[in-house]
This record gives sequence, structure tokens and C-alpha cells, in this order.
Amino acid sequence: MNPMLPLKSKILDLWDETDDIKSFLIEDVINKKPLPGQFYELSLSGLGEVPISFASWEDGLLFSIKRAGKITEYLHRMKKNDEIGIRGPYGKGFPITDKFKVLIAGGIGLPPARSVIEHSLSNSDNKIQLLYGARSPRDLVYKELLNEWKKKFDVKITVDVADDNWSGHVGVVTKIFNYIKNTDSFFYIIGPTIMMKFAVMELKKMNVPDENIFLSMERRMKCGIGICGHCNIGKYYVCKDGPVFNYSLIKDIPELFF
Amino acid sequence: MMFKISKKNFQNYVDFLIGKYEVWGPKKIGSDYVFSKLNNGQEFEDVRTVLSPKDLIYPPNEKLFEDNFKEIIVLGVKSCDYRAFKMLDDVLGIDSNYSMRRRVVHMFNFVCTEPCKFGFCTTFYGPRLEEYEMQFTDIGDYYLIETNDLRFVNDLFEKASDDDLKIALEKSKNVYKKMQKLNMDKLSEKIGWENPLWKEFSQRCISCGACNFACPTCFCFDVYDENDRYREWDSCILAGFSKLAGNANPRPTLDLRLRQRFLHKLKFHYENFNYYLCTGCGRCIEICPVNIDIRDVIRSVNP
Repeated sequence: MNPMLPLKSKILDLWDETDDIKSFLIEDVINKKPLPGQFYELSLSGLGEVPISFASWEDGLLFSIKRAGKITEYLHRMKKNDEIGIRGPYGKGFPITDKFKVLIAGGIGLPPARSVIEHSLSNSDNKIQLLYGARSPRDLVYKELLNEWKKKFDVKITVDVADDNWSGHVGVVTKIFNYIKNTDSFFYIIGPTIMMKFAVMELKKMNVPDENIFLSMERRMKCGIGICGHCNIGKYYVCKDGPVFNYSLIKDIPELFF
Repeated sequence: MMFKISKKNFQNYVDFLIGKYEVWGPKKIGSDYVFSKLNNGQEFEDVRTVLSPKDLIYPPNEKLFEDNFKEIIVLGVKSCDYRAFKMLDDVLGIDSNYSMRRRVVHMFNFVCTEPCKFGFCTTFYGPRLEEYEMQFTDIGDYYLIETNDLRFVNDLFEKASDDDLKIALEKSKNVYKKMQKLNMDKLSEKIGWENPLWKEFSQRCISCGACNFACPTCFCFDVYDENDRYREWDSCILAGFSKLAGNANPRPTLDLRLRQRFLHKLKFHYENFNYYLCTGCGRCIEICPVNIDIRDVIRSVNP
């Protein structure tokens, strides 16, 4: 069978998270439990495919998708019970560890962080801290869930631009790094390239060893299986060697951040 | 097993093959030789083509999820192109379209006995193959035929002697004598991300992507939908190759894209597979309209 052939699935439910982010609950016809940080290719027949990290896996596969390009635009126009193709899960996820985990998520980086959080909580591991940055209070996803999480572990949120009702932190996510409880943690960073670059710089100032830093990388991707040649970072392919990389492996690659 | 066939009978052999299979070989179209379907044995000429037969196994554009592949024989394949398929196997081997065609397209190697103008195959593997379906060497009035595959053996074949093999080996050594061998010593380790050639090349490169399309080892492809799902050869030289949604681009300038092309061939692929993604066919050098030369990259590291 062709490894690029998607399986037919359907949208069980969908709802708005923010003005430009929608969540899609998709029937998991693959029925394989994904590892936190892995991704799927979502396929719209006749339109195209897009690689998206999953956010949650229980009653189906949950994806929270920002409208950013052609295919995500089509996705946002879809309805409940519409057909969708899926293939995956692909790539290497975040390490499963007993160590304390500091999750640093920027914008649409929170959904993949959710997969780590839910995996930990389901194993009665709440050695987690979440530092989450968004553009504005309107752009925060999973607002109810964030409040539930706050009861179980430390959650700090910051926004680039506040509104009148916002009483929390204002500024980029590195502004709340002073809340980091334990520098002897694993740091999982998921977000835009510029945010990841500065997050790593700050962690290095705090003497966090390279080996304890993990980045979820993003590149243009087509096949998802390491053959189309698009997503390379040096000798690595984001689709099969990543998307999660230990920083020590990729830190010397000049095109890491752009 | 070793056989030989007279040049006169060789045409009849090609006719015999045409009777059983679809047979392709180098044919002059306009001013260039390209792989084309042969109608009779007379049409065959043992000439190195401008483009490799990569497209016969990995078409420039194809519908995905098809399973209709016909058995064909390709004559006049050169070792540089044959080696390239061995390399593509390591990447595209998991793809069903590619691997199905790989099984039904038979490539017959015709050993070069003279160097071609831009080739530098002796830097890597040279004109003879150790693994082949059929290997033909021009030894004067005859072709020496080496094969372990009885399917393509024919009554026109005669017994070959060790002397015939000796002549064949001498003929291929001629290529080694006349061709300049480049120094690849630890090149993958020594070649750096920074090299003044990237900028220099970028000042004259016109981003045509011909180097990628002429290269027998370039495998990158794009996937797009137009009712059905298709894939199409892509070029790392083009600006859109690594562009993400929102126009973010890890390689926004041409020098960075040229760097990707050369480092992929001479560093990254070596680090993953322990060989260079190049067979020294010289086609990228020949086809480049502005004389960008991969040999200059190699020499810049190992003079």
C-alpha cells in the first residue's frame, strides 16, 4: 500500500477556539495511540494535505488549527460529519520522563503542549509547569482547560498586548521565565521560530544544559515520511527525525532559526 | 556469466527484445540524445544522453496511488545513472510507485570506454558496475555481455573468453586514464556551512532548477491536488521550496538555497548514508546556463 495514502475519516465535532483557531475532533480510524508531540497529515481530497501536531487523544483525535495558509483556510470552512483523510502518527515526540517538565508554549504551540500535559496527568505525573504566551487575551486557546490545569500544576500566562479586562502578565513569554521553578528540568519549547530562539537564549543564561532542552520544529513538509526532501534541518528531516529535537543535536545548524 | 555478441547480431537482439518488451534507448531528437522508445534495432546508438533515464522510474509528474506499471527494458544506460537508482532506492524505496517501477523497468548498463566531457565518475565508482542486470562493453566488433539473469539471454549470444573480459577491462580503464579524479578525502567532514562560493554562485544563478532536473540522484518532490493527488519533481533552488504558511522561509536568499543543494549532496546525505549523493555524471555542469560547477565546490575544500 502506498504510505502516502490517507485513510478516510470524518469530523466528529468542531468549534471555535479564537478568531483564527478552530478545534477539530476527528475519528481515529488509525486507532493507534500517538506519542505526545507527534503529528498527522490531514488530507482534504482534491485540495491538499497539511501536517498538524495532535492536541489530545481520547474520544478521537483532537487538532487545534490556526488559519494560516491555503489548506487550513479550507479546513476552517468544513462542517461536522465532513469527510477528512488522515495518516500518521508521524515523527518523534517529546521524551517520556519522570523529570520535572517545563513547557514553554507560544501561540498555536499550546495544542502540542496539551498532548504532553494530558499524557503526564493520565500517568498521575503532575511534575509539570506551563508557561504560555499569546498575542492577546482573545488569542488564548483552551481557556476552561487552563483553569482546570491551574488546580493541578503551575500555569503562568502572558499576552503581548493586554485588553481592559486583562490583569495578568504582559510581554513575551521569556518575561515570565522568572517563575521557572526548577532549572534542573526538561524544557519543552513549542512556538514560532523567533520565540524559540529567544527562549533558548534565556535558558542558556540560566545555565540549562543543551541536553535538557527540546524543541518542536516546523518546516515545509509534504510527504511526512522522510522522502520528499522538503523539511530538512541539516542532515535531519523534521518529519521523521523530529519534529521534536534535542537542542544539542541541532544547535550548530545555521538555519535552525530564521 | 559471460557472453559476447557481434555488433551485427546486436541489432537482431534488440529486435528480439522489442518483440517481447517495450524497449527504450538513446535516440537523437533535434540536436540531443534522449531516452526514447525504440522501434527497431537499427535505431539504437550507444551514446551518453543529456538527461538520465531517472524519469522512466520516477516520472517528473505522476498521479499518486496508481498501480499500473508496465515492464520495459532500457538500453544504453550508463553506470552513473544506474548507481543513482541504487541511491534513490535508499530514499524512495518505501514509496510504492517508485518501487513497483523499479521492479519492472530493466536497466542495461553500457560501459563507457571514453570519458564524457563533464563527467567525473572515476572520482566515485567509474564506468563499470559490480551489480547489474545486464552489462555490455564495446570490445571492437563485439559487445561483451555480463549477466546473471537468464531471462534476457538469447541464441545470438556466443561464448566469451577471459581475453574478451581483459579487453573490456582495458577499455574501461581508458576512462580512468583520461578523466581527472577529484580528491574526496573526508570531504563531508571538511566542507563547512560557510563557503564564499555560495555568494559567488548566487550572483549568476538564474534559479532555473535545471541542475535538479538533470541530476540522476535529486529526489525532492512536491505534492499537490488537482482533483486527484499528484507529485512533481521539486527544486531546492526555487524560492518556494521551503516557504511556510505566512511566507516564513528558512532559506530566503539564493545563496542559502545553493548551499542546501551542495551540502545535501556532499554532506547531509553522506552523514545519513555514508556515500555522496552524486555519481559524477556531470549533467548538472553540462546543463547549467551560467557555469555553476559542483567540481569547484569539491576543489574549494580539497584543492
